[in-house]
Amino acid sequence: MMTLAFAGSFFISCSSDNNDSPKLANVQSDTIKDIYAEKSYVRFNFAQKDTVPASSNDWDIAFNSTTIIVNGGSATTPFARTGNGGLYKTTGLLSDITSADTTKFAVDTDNALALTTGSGNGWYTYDMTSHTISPKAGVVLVIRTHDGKYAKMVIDSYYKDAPATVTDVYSSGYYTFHYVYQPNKGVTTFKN
Amino acid sequence: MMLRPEMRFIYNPIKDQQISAGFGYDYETLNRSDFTTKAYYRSQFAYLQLESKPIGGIDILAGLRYDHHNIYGHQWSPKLGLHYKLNNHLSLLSSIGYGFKAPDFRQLYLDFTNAGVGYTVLGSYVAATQLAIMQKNRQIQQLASGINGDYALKPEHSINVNIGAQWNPASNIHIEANVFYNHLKDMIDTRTIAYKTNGQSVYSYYNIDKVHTQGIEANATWNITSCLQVTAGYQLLYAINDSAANAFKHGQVYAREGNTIIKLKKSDYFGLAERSRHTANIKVYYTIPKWHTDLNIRAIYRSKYGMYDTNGDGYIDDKDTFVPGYTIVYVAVNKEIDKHIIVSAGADNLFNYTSKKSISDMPGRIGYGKLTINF
Repeated sequence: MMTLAFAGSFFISCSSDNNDSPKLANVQSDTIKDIYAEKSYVRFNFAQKDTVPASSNDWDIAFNSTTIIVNGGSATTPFARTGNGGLYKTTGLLSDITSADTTKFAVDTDNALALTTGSGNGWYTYDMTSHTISPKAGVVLVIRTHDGKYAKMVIDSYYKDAPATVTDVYSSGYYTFHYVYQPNKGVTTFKN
Repeated sequence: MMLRPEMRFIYNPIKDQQISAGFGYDYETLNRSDFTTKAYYRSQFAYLQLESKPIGGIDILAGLRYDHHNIYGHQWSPKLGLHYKLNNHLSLLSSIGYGFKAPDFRQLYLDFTNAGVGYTVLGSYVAATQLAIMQKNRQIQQLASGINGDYALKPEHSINVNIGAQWNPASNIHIEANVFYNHLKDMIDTRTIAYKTNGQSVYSYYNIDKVHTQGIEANATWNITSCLQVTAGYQLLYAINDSAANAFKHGQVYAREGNTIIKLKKSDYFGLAERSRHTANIKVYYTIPKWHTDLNIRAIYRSKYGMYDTNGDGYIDDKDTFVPGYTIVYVAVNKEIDKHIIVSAGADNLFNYTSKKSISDMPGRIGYGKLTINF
């Protein structure tokens, strides 16, 4: 009985040691502050943790005013989607979303964007009294990047310096968001 | 045009038994500028009511009402009430009833734009066509969230339960208290359906699937002297949209605290918009017979309430911005000069309560003088 148990445990540890698959890169969590996107589309790349120029096709999502587009789908306006991206909206705390559900991704077409526009429909609500844009609490955007990797993000603010309470409605168009990016191709979970 | 004939019969077969019955017809048609289409409203109703006092102190009331409506079909509404007089000072009351309320004329056909402020109210029957016209005229900035073009209005059904007591501790004091529970299906309420380019809203009516309201009502009257009367009233109210309460219970509602996102709990749900948890009033009437003068002071209080969802989660919850609670005081004096002439003076909102931020349409103090002449 003792021998058998010992043998079993040895087998498991042996198998683990012999795993030759390359070590996976860690998921990356980051916060991006004040991307100004009220004049034209600004393209963002999760792997580079930064915006990329309008000449680059290596973008994952792009912002223009309150509209967010994704680099995937048949849409041609305002420019063609050359990547393999996708996006879906879900509800929860960012930490609640443990993996990307690959069955849920939508892409941009000229008739409908993956992320629906308009107050209350997509990521924000517009308050008609204070004229402010507020990210809807509990909205998490799950993104397939242009090269088929996954990220989840929460938009924190649409105003410069992400104030807790918006006092200057004219400082709009500044995206602050935080996200988790899974850099390993084909891995849908957002854990290491 | 409105036609509303009604017949009523009362019959006492034996002592302490009464049967009353009646039937009627309601025909309304309107062709007004703010009702866009010629509107008809035809309904018939009949009712039967039995009142019986089987043994001392007990009074039973049983009723049945039948409604037929040209749009909303027919409905039977039974009701049962029990009144038990324990002694000369104390009675217990309870009732259970089924209610039916078809949408009224305004809720169906109204097409009204407030000339001064600029908001619009549309009846459910005309909402789609009028909204399309306003969109064509570029009066609409955008539709409110969740508006999908379906404005049809169903009748409201309810079950109402009341248990209460009436108490006269002295001949000049009367106190009554009542616990109520109402379950409503397809409750008719107002909502914003679109935002106009002038910054105002377009309102219409809609059904809330399931609502229950529960609470306590209490009223007291004290005739201190033959010239001085004080009345007071209080209501505790929980007005709960059942599907909203469920969403909170299952942790499907989120809110923002500064830049952190939190999951709201069941206890964070406040209830329907524009309903205060507490309302109270106190009124003092004082008459001076030899001067033919009477004086009255009324104070009306309501606790905080949510005007609309301010934090974008679709519900009124504890993280919303509320209209703070307030009290409004009214005073009035009436003097009868002679049998035909009454002079009145008074002030509404005596302490000039206003809240520009939360209730922009609340007028401040209004003083008035009035001369009434009866020929």
